[in-house]
Formats: sequence, structure tokens, C-alpha cells
Amino acid sequence: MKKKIFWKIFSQFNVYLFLIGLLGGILVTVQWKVRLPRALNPLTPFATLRNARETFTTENKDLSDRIKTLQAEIKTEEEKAKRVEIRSRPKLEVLEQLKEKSGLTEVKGEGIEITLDDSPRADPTAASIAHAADLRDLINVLWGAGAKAVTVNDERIVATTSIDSVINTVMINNTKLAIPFTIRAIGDKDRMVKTLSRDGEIKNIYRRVDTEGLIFTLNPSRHLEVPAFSSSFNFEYTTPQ
Amino acid sequence: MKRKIFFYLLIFLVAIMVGFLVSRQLLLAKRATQALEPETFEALTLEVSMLLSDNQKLNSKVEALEDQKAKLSNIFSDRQAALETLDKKILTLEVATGEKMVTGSGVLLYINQDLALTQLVDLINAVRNSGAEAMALNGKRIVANTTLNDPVFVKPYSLQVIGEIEVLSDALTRRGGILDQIVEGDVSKHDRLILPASS
Repeated sequence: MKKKIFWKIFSQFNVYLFLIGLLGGILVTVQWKVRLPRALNPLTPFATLRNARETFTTENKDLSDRIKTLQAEIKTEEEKAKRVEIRSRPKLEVLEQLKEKSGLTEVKGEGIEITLDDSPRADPTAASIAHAADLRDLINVLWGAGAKAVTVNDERIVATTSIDSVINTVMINNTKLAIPFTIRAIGDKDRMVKTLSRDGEIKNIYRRVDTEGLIFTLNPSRHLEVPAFSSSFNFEYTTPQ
Repeated sequence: MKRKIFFYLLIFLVAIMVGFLVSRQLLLAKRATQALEPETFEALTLEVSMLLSDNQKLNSKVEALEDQKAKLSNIFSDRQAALETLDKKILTLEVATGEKMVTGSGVLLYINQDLALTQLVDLINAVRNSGAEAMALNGKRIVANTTLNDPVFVKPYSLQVIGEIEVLSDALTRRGGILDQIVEGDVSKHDRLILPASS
């Protein structure tokens, strides 16, 4: 029954007419180019925007890669600087020890202070005045008595120091010094006092003290201080091995 | 009959109109979609704007990192230079303290007579005054705190002195010089002397 109604409807001419009309309308529309009522964004051409996106995306990647490279390079530089610093630490300790040993640092400790001065007698003789040679002899004895650091009138005695007479003064480390001469020596004060006693190694000085009035005094001290060598070392011909 | 024809004509026209409207709507929708691609103009503009901003920030970061790298490179160069200076200072002080064996040009003084301690003290002092950089007496290195009251220091005395050859030689052998004053000795010049480290 339904089938009959279905065929009855579609056998009608007007149905066919409707369908034909519909199809015709569709065909006409497709043939006739449908245009948008207006441009969606007249200011920014879409193609240019797409190109810009591609360019910026490439640039973004390049910059990101560059940053990664730079970070790696910075890490390398930091490690290099750190290695140098690590290498320098023990060397700094070695340098400090060498400076101490060579006389480039001040030294404090117990020791003795010696005063050597001309005799006050009116008619001086060669034996009554203090000579550079006396200073050399005293310093040699002090080293033998274990002195760690020695100064004469605050001039530190080091490996290159010579002590020479210059008319009526003494030249030490290119500095002219005049009487009275004060020798300070840091070390075992008791040992140094014993070595410098009358029974010790400077009998000549004591004889001149007794006969000529040469001034020679010895003062041990628990707290003495000697300055560092005020110049520097410069070796042109010597090469350590 | 006329009414029937009119009716059929009306249906036909309505059908055409419906077909026109339906297909136009479909085409418009497709055209708009095509015009905007998968993304919208607004989304693309926003994306480009964000990329521009990001790239500006990245450029600033690159500049900062390059600056940091340059500074670190300078620090390394400075530290390297400082390390080299440190090494030189250590070498110099090793000579002064006698820590290491040394070589160099200089003179050899040979004395085959007994010397009193005071004469030995004066001799070493005179050699220092002549610009000696390093000395060794009878094979023992002489440094600042070397005492000359040592059993090793007996005749014959062989004193090696590193320094400027001509100056050393002239100072020792000149009239009124130390050898003229206290004792005779032979001075020979050497291009390479080897001095031991101090014990």
C-alpha cells in the first residue's frame, strides 16, 4: 500500500518538474562564479604573512641553535679558566714558601738585637770603629747559629746582598747606612746568644770592645720583627733545571 | 489547463531558486574556508607577531651570551698570563733560594791556598758585589743563609760563579780587586756552568 502511494507521488509530473528546476538552479549557480561580498583583510596580504612566518620560524630556529652553541662555548671557557685557577693554587702556595725563604716576606719571632757602634773615644783607630767586615763576620756567625732572617738597619740580608764600606758609611742593598748598626736576627735566641758570647766565634770583636771601646751589645728578645727585602731579584744568566 | 501550466511553472521557478540558494550557500562557505586556509588571518598575524617578539628576545640573549663568552675568554687569557707570571716568579725565587740546580755562563775561580774564615767571608762578599747571580763553593751551593764556617770549605777552593762573564772576570782580576788584596787565584771563563741545588 505504501509502495503504491510512493509510486503515485513520484509519477506525478510536478515532482519531476521540481527536481529539474532544482538541478537547473544548481547548475546556473556553479557556472556563475560566486564571489565573496568583500575582502576579509585588505591590509595584510595573506601570502606575505605566510612568508614572514616561514622566515621568522627559520630565524627562530637559527637563534635557538646559536644560543645552544654559545652556551656550550661558555661552558668550555669556564672550564678552561677553572683549570688554570686550579693549576695556580698549589703554585701560589709554593710561591709563598719561596718568598718566605728568599727574604721577600717580613718575619716575626724570637731572636736577638745586636748594636755595633764606633767607640766614643776621641782618637779613633781602625780597631775602634765599626766596619763593614764586622757586619759580614757577625752575619756569617748568625747564619751558622741557625738564624732564619737577618737585617742590618732594617736592610734584609738576602742571597744577592753584599756589605761594603763606602768612605765612612756601609752600603747594603744599594742603601748607604751609617752607625750605629743594628742587627736583628730571628731564630733560637739562646743558641745565637751562646754563639755570640765571649767564648764563641767573635773573639776579635770582644777584644776590640775591651781594648778600644768598640760598642757591641747583645739583646735577646721574645718578640722581634724584621722587614722584607725591599727590592727584587733579577737573574739574567741563570737558568734553573 | 492554464492554471495547471501556471502551477507547473511556479514549481519550476521555485525549484530553480532553491537550487540557486542552496548551491550559493555551499560555495560561499567553501570559498571562505579556502580563503582562510586551515588557520585564520588573526591566528596567523598573532603567530607572526609572537615569532617577531620571540626572535627579538632571542637576539638579545645571543648578544648577552656573546658578551659573556668574550669576558670569559679575557679572564682565561688574563689567568693564563697570570699563571705564566707566577711560573716566572717561582723560577726566579728558586734561583735565589738554591732550590734547584742551575746552569749559566760565568767564571770559575780556583784558589790553592788556605784561607781564614774572614778571608773567605770577604771573598764571597766581593763576588756578590761583582754581580754574581748564583755561586757554588767546592760543589756546595751558596745562598743567603749559607755559613762559610763549614768543613767542606777548605783548600783547594773551587768557586763557580754564574753571571756576566766579563764583569765577573774583570772585577776579580783587576788591580786592587779581591784577588789582588787577599790571595792569588786563577779565573777561567765558561759558557756553561752547572751548580747543584742547595742541600
